[in-house]
Amino acid sequence: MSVVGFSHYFFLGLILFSIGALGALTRRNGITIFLSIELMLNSVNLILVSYASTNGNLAGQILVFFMFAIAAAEAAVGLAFFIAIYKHRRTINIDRLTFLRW
Amino acid sequence: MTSLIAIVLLPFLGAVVNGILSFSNSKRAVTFTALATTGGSLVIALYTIWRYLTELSPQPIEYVLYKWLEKPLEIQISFLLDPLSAIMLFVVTFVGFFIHLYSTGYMSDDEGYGRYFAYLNLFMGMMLLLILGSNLLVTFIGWEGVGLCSYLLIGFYYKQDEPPRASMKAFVVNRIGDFAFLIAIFISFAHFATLEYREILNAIATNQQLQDTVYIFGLTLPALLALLLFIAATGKSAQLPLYVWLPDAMAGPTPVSALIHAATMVTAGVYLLTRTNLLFQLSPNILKLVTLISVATAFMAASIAIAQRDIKKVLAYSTVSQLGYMFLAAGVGAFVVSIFHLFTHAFFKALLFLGSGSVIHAMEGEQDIYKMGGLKQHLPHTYITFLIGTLAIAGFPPLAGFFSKDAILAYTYDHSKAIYFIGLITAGLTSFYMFRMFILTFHGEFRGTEEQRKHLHESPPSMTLPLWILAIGSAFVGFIGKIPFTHYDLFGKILSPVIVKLEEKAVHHDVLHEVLLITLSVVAALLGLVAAKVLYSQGPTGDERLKSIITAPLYTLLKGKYFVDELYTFVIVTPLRTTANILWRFVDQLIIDGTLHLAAGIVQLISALGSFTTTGNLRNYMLYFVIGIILLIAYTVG
Amino acid sequence: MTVSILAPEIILSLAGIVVLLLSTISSKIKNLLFFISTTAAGAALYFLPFPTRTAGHLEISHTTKFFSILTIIALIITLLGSIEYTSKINSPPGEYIAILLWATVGILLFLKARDFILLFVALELFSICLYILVGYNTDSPLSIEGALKYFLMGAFASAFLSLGIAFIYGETSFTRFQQISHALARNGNMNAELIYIATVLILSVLFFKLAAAPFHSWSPDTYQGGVTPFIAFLSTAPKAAVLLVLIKFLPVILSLPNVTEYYRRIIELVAILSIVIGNVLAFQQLDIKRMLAYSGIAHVGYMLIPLVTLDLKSYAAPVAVYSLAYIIMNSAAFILVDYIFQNDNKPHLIEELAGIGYKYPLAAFSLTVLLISLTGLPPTLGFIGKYFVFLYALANGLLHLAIIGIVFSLVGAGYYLRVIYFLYMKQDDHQLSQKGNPFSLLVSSICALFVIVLGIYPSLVTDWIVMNIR
Repeated sequence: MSVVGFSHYFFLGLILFSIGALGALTRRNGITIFLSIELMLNSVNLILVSYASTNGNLAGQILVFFMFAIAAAEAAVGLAFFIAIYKHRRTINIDRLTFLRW
Repeated sequence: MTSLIAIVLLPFLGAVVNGILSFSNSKRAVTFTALATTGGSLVIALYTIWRYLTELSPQPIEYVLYKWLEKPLEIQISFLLDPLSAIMLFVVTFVGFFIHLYSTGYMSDDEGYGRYFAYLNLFMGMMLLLILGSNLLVTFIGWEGVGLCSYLLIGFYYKQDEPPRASMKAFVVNRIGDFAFLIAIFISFAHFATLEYREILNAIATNQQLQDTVYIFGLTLPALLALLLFIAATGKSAQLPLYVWLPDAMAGPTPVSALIHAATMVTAGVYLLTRTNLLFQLSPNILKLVTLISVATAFMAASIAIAQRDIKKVLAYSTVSQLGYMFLAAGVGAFVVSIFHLFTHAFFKALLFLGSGSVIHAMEGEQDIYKMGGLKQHLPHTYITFLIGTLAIAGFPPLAGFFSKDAILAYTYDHSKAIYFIGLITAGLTSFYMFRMFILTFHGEFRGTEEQRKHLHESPPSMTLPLWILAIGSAFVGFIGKIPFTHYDLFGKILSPVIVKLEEKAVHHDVLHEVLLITLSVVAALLGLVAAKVLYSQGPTGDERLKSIITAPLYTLLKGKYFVDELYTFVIVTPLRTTANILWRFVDQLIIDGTLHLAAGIVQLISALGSFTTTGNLRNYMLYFVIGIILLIAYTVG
Repeated sequence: MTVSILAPEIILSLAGIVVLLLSTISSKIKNLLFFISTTAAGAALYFLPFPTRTAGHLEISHTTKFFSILTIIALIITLLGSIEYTSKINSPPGEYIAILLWATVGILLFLKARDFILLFVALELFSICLYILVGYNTDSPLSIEGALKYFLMGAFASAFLSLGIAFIYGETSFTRFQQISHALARNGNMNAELIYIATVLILSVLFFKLAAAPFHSWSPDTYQGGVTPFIAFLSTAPKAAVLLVLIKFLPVILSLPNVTEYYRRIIELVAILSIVIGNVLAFQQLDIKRMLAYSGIAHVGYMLIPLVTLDLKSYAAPVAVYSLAYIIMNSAAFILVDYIFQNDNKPHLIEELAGIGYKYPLAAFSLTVLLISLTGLPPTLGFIGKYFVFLYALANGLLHLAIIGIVFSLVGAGYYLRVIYFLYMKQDDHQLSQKGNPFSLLVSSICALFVIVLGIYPSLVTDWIVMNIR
């Protein structure tokens, strides 16, 4: 049994990122897609923090804080869009939001 | 030499202002703008030329307005003042101004007054660009610009049937020449990485290998460029086989014929040849071609002119013939004389056109000389000035045409006796058709309608003043050229720096020869005059007698202009049309609209198929994004 | 380091706050708001910091200054072109202006960034503002749909960007470009493959923001649906900014040994794909905004050509010249499209332009000039841009790229000139009849004039660019 170290956190982060990416690519519900993207961002945070602890400087953690803020801002904007589109179209199914194409 | 900019920009300014004014009805403002800009240009040009030519040894002055593109494809907008462009500058601004003045009278009743002067000013600007440009590109911009103005002005009376057709013909025929010019530009650029005349000519002059090696089709590079530029010149300067547009171009207003289709634009080809005379001197074969084409043009056009009834058509063919003389001079290597004839011709031919305009004005638009006659009493100023012009073009001493034509014939005599005799006969024909026209127009009984007779009047001073100025010029400008029996040759001295002298071959006739040559040309002119007098003193019936003298088939051939137009229609236009029609029928418009539509169709198809990838579905887009990243990594690493 | 080097950002941020506050007072002072914001943009232009070498985290060079000027020019064009639009939609104009100003602040910071943290934050700052503005017309389902697609794609791309940044930070333990560059050059015990993948991720996201193929798919939908006068900004300023960041970012990653050729091939592939896909797909578009979106993809391809040389000393100048041309002509074209159509809730069909040449002579003439410039014919600025790019390509042995570029420019001529054909085709009964705002016409006509003047006299700017932009 080895100690839980950098590579565990790193690979956990990568796995979470992949799950998020797959979720974003496969789900139809807009909000689920958005949540998957949030998962991707947070997995990057995990990777950043684990890197920061091995590198021994704080730049990574600072970036994590900024990313929290950015993710929050994105959530606010994104949810507003979902509400607006739902008012018009009565759906947030991405497969049906295809007025603009070709 | 900032004054060059003012000279060029003033007419352009006038064109813009007149273009705007043409929407209003203020004829006085238009008149003022047109005369102020061209007059200002003339005054500055005269001062500049005076300052320049009175320098002890005038060096070419280059003025770079600015560089459009930097090296390695350096293209600059720049002007060159040397003796050649100074002389051209004088011709264009001087004749141009007086024709503007004349136009204020001639066009005074036309509703398109502002439009007319906008075009005419634009023409002046473009012509100045053409002659002052220090590189092929600026000249080409001017070359295309004057072509455009010519097109616009020939088709000025666009509501009638003939002018738009004639303007289209002029445009299309000129395109052939322009295409050759464009190829010459590309070749120069590819080889010399510059378009500056002086750099190109220097590069050729100093590179013996370039002069000797065959470049393509058995031609050396200088010969190829010379050939292309000559083809360009045959288009603009109406030589065989591209002269057919010029007679039709007479559909435009008469002052336009005087300015563009006699004095300035059509001589641009002669200017171009002289500007690049090194190329021609290095390629004797091309010069031989120039000689043959020019003498054929001169003779053919002169012979056509003797059977025409339209006063402007006669003058048009006369212009073609005289342009042939200019090219003949260039062909025998006498570029100075070529420009000298251009110079004198600008005066007397502009004068003759303006005089014919005055006649047409008095006759309410009638152009048929059969219906004129006896105008001597009604148009005294026009009569006298027209007589001076006729004597000048016929080559009677001591008028301007005598000096230049005699010089051309003298050089030709040295070159080839046969060509000299054709030139001499052409001179006799010139005298004959000019006096035929002159006698039919001004002498004898009036043959027009009663209404026309009542309307007959001398033109206003704004029209007669230019006539007199040009008449004085036609009478006296000959003296600045080579005076027979002396070594005095001011024109040659001025131009000598421009002409490359590969070998010294000035005419050194003994006095006896010189007397003989002059006598022959004067006799030829006299014969023409006498023949015209004898035949036409009874009016147009002279044509019947002429017909019986030269036999009916020949007369029909001349009257029908050798049926060249019909030949072109038969050989080129009709087959083209028939072929196109057949193809259209069979291939269902595919060929007419060209392969362009096919290419466009293919692109359209691919485009339509490609558009299906843009499904509008966000999930696909995200997938493309991921695939894109994988693609980049796989493409590089894999 | 003094505050003054951030003066433009501070001015624009404060102006945004002032405009937002004023807009709550009264809804009838719209013109005042536009006046304040335009003045602030002018002031920002005036207070752009003088290029120095020592600026800490921020890069202040002639190059950043030039691209900052381009950004603010795009801002001013967009502001003047938006006056009419904002009064026709329900949402208040104050927010529109404020968010536009803050987006500009984000781009200006993005240009100055020499550090991945600032780069990322600035990128998100302007990106979020851009998402909002694309969907600002909440009445139109098209506007919202375009915005939603742009937003989700953007967020998705941001995740990849942050992953790339995280990898690079982790392997080198630095976030500053210069330190990273040194660390890569030293090549200690780093995972070179991971770093290479990280750089490809970052490049991909930059290409995404540029709307370069194959990361372009959002842009036609977004441009077509988005708020038209704002697309004038979206299609120009961020692209130019990302190009500059690419110019700055390439030297950093080129320190990574043994992969130079890989980067060259990546950029080459993206440039070719963008030129081909952009031009070909633009060819059969019926909606002029969508057509301009695809043609914008092609223009990005042209702008990427000089970067293929990876010649750090000289590749910036042709990009700068082309960017200048692109910013002016593309933004003005979108403003004119809005001016002519005046209705954003339905498609902007090219065939509806029939007869506009007789109805709005000045607008149609300006649009004609801009389209000729976009085609790249002389004597326009667009020609000068293409001339610089192709000449640079030829001088550096990229003959194949120059040929592809020129051949597909001909395809471009096909669809641009078709619009001109429609403009001057006679058709008397068309529905476009409302009168547009004079400022839109004024600003786009001035742009058309610039396009011509600089096309005839390019050395006015190109001399400076060739001298100063490295």
